[in-house]
Amino acid sequence: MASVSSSHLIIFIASLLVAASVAGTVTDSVSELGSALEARSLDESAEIRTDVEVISDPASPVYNRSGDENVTLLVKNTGVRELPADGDKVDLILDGEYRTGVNVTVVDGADWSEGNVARVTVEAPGLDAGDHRVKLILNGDEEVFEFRT
Amino acid sequence: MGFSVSASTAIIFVALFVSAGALYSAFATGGERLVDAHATMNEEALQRQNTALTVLNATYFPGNDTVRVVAANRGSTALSVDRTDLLVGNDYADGASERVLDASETDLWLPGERLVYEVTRTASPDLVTVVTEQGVTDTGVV
Repeated sequence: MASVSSSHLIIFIASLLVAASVAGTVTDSVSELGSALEARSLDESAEIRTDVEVISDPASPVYNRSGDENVTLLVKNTGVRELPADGDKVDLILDGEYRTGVNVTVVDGADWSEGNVARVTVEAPGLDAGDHRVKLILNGDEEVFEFRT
Repeated sequence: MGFSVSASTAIIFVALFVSAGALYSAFATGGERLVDAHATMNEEALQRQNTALTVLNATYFPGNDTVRVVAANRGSTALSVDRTDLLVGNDYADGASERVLDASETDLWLPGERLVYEVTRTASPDLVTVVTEQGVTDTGVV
């Protein structure tokens, strides 16, 4: 009789341990999923709220304005969130070629907040005469600007 | 034996209940955040649709090295003077003075009103561009 009780006790404890283990795994997994959803929704929300417009006049000189063979674009924050005025956060593709060394300077304020304009420059030494295309990607928002040198 | 099964089931059930609550909360918060962002951007898009402007006149006065630009709000929405920008020959016109005609000390550029920019330049530019806060532009020849 005592052996039956002992067996039952062992099975009971084992079943509790298994159940607790399963419960822990489930809650951990769901917790991680919840955190991922939270982070993803924050990113998505930021992407939706981001909008920029290249306001440079394509009919005016865009290339080599100050003699340093840079492409200079004026980009206005037309979204509803402040954007990082950091060249590392801006992807720039010039004539299909990814360019590094992008420089971003806010020209009408301390921060690149709503309505403010930033000057985006990138070195492009020896850009051929002709038509050119710049693609600017910032936080998922893409802008294309075409100009002639 | 029966009690073991009941206890285990209860533990798993509680865990599932807690997990479902956490998951629902994450979905609801995330969904609400996205809906809010979409609604805000839709409002912005509507405002952009209702925005229109025309550069009426752009003149260079060599006597006092000044470029004077007059633009009219042709849309149906009020615009912010502070958030409206002027480009002179593709340069951001930093330090330009701006005022709404017939209204002083205002940041509102209302439909039908004219906005006047004056900026100092030593030579006459070819083009000037006025840009609203929504990114709607119009270009005028000096």
